[in-house]
Amino acid sequence: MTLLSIEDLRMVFNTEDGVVKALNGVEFDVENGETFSLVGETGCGKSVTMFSILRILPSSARMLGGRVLFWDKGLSKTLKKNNPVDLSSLSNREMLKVRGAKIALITQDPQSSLDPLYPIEDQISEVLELHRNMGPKEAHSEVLNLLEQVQLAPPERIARKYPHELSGGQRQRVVIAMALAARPPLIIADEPTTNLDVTIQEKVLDLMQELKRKFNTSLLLITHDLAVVAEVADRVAIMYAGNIVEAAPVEELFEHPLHPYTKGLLAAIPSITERKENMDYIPGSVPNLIYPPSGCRFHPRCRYAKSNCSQERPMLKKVSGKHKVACYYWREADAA
Amino acid sequence: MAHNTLNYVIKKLLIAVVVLIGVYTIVFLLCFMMPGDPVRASMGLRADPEAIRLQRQLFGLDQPRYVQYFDYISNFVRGDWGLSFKYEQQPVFDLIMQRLPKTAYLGLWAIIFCVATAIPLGIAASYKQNTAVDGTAVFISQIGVSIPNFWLGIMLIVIFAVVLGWVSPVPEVTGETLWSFPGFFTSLKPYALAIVTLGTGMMASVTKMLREEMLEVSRQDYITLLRAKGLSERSVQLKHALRNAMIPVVTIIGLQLLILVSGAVLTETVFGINGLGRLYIDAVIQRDWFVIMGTTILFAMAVVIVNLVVDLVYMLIDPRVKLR
Amino acid sequence: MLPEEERMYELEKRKRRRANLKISLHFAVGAALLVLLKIFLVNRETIPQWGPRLLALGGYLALWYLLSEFLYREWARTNYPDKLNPVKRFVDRFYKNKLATFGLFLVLTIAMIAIFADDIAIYPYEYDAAWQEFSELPPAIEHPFGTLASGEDLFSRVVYGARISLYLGVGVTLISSLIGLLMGVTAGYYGKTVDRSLHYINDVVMAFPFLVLVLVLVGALRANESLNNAFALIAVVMGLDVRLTVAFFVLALVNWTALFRVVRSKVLSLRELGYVEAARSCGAKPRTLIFRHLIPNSIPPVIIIATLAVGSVILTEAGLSYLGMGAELGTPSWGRLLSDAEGYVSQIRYFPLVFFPGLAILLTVFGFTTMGDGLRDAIDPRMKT
Repeated sequence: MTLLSIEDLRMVFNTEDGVVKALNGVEFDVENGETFSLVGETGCGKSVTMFSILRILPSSARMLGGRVLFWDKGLSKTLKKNNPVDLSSLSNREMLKVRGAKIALITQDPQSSLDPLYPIEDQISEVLELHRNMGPKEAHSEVLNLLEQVQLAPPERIARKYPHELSGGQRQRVVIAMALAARPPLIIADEPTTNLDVTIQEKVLDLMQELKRKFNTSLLLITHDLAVVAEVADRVAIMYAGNIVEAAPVEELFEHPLHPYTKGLLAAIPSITERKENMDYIPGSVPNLIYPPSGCRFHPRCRYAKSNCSQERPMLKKVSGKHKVACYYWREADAA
Repeated sequence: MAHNTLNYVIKKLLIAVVVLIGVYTIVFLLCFMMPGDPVRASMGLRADPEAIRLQRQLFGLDQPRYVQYFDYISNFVRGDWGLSFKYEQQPVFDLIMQRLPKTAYLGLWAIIFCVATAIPLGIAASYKQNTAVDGTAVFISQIGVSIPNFWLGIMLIVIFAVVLGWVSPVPEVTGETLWSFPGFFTSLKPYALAIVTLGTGMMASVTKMLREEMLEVSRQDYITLLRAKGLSERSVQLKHALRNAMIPVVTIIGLQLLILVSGAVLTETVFGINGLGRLYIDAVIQRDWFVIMGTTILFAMAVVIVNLVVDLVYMLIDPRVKLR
Repeated sequence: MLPEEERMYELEKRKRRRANLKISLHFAVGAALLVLLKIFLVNRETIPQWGPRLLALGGYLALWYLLSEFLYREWARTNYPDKLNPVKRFVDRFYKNKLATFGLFLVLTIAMIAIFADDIAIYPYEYDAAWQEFSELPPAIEHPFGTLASGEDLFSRVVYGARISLYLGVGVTLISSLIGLLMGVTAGYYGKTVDRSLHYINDVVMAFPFLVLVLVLVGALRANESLNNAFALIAVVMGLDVRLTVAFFVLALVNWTALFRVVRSKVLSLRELGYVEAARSCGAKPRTLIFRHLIPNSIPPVIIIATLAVGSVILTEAGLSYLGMGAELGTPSWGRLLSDAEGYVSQIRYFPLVFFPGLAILLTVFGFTTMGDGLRDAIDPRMKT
């Protein structure tokens, strides 16, 4: 059952240097109970997508089109059940009930993601008081419970501490606890382990998976690290310069990538076992989104590109089962 | 924990005392150790030598310098701050206490004016960044920082006292009235121009600072996360952003005291207020050394005490400063 | 680098150096010609009428601008042929800030007025007793701002006042910046006792409210006869009156505190970067480290603070002169002009006397303040949301 469905999302930013066409028709969906990963290089628009879902965007952002459909019983009281709500059409006040309660966020940098002036307990209680209407006593015990769930011990002591008194890994767990506090059906995690030590990364990932099962939430994992994807995700979507270029279940993507960009990404991962003189890389560089390439935005760097690639953007088409590609010549690329 | 806090406070106090000793030494050096005779300088070159000798004895200036150094400070703490040359040998302490109420009144209201104007302005400017409100606020604060204090006073006098005639240019309120009830509030009208003059520079600095800090804070990750938690924008700004931004701003407000004293000298001159500032500048021009000593040390003491208080307040409001 | 590449690089370097030398030579010749032009053609003797003289001056300045613009283009073309000119990028960033650009315009205007004061002022600097009969006149064409009690034309005095303000502003800031820079680098580099003692001195100086400290020092120095005589001599050399000279030195001696703090913290943060230790372990002498690394890296914040400092020095000097502890009668300091005009406050007829000198201060300081803030934003580009 689908939980979240992004349809043809188009988003631009009005900056001093020009109009940045950040999202060019993004589409994917997240199923109930799965871990869906959105992968791409820096600047491809994955963070923008995430902020567009939550509608936390700077004033220079303008949505040109598309829908962000969300299935949740609590939201569509007036409509029949199983009818989704378009988050992009909600008023800001209505979105306040969605953020944190229905869709929660785990941010990237544990150093600066907690307000330094408030102790841990207050920061988690904020969510509880806001979305679960808990009084101080109830909130206090729930906070301790949550801290235990994220394996921060002893909970009493941690609750009283301030953010600067905790390590990066501990702070990230607090952020996870805050995200879970209101029992949201969907959690968006933005590069949750990138800024952590490698040894801690493993632990935090494991924790997230376990909690996802326990609390029965779905996870939208945004990352540029393919290793994390391989370990944790059920399905993946590859994003390039504001478009989804390929989407598939994880094993299938790694075993049988179809889009030239995906192939380039996977080939560029250095392997311990192989011996190579030169590293494989994708020629060219990420395009400037103020003056993006016409048609398929990858065509300047693609060796299979033909004339129609620069004219009209290929749409995501189903190739087999749950595998979709946005490319006219994937068969040629596959044969090579 | 408390033990460490106490240590910290004591350490700061000791530093403050040492700094004050340094201040006193410098002032003493300047006033009394310059070659040349202070009494003679203030009495004029043509004064009778016998009269000069008597005066010197009276003021204790016939003692060797280092004795004077210690004498002065031991007298000082006992409340004897010497005698004024020019005001018929009135005790300096009395003179200062006489003039203090007016300056204190002016200073207090100037700070209130500053805080009451700058905080809303700073918040509004950062909230509506890059709009007309922000641009105006920046422009006004830049002018406020660049305008000569005394010229602003003169212009205000011309507009409100001369042309419009709403107030008289010189506020004629006694010290007792100022600090009594309801004099405390009714004196605002005659003092209004002076308060605005003195407070504008401070207001502009604080506005600039607050706006910058608010912008800096809103760039932080935790603001994004707070919004993602479902907090209303108002909550985010007031409960979180403002509290964080205010921390450095509080220290700035404390440091404005420095500017306050300098500004008071100019403001009181423009408006003809007989406060400490006026006393000070007159003393400097007339070389009334004991008065200069007394007021300078008083000013420096005030600055050091305010800095100490600011440090302590900082410790209270910023949990990151709690010492291990 | 391969030997062929190295040879190519050397050739390039030599070519560029020769081209740069040629440009400098062109500039020197052009500048010399323009200076001669000024001495012989564009001055009060050759063009006694104010209007035409101002026009000639405008044309003259245009020539200077053309010369600089042409040579800049040449320089950019030789040194940055691929158009990724860091100077240009910085300048572009600065110009985006309209307020700062306006500030720069103000500063340049005041500087031009100060430099060419002899041509811009309607009446010359030296007092002419014949002016006395024109005392206290309202604004007219010959006296756009009116006249003072002594008969001097206010407009001309305000124009000459620009010289005083900039002389003091820039002069004091240069000296105190040097002091602050050296002290800050020393404190930051040597640390421990040196740092603590310098920091203590800084704290003591900062414990005085600024004006109070300056007043005490000026008063003390003037009270001392022998020092006073020494300053009289210096005053003649500097071309100012005695009291203003004393104020100059006092300000220069006292204004370094802000800079000291900033430089010291910059040096400390540079030390944390690690390359200081690395260099030291390679045997680098302290002097090399200080002059080649620490000081150049501390320059950007120094420039910003110095620009802002000029503004605050001008304000302080104006305040001092207003209180009677700065410029003496006759020196056209703006603050002094305001204090001379005090008696005329209640008479609206003489409003120009109290208005224009203060306005001049405001515009000048405003220019430096906005320019300084603009520099800070341009050097430190933080991403605007």
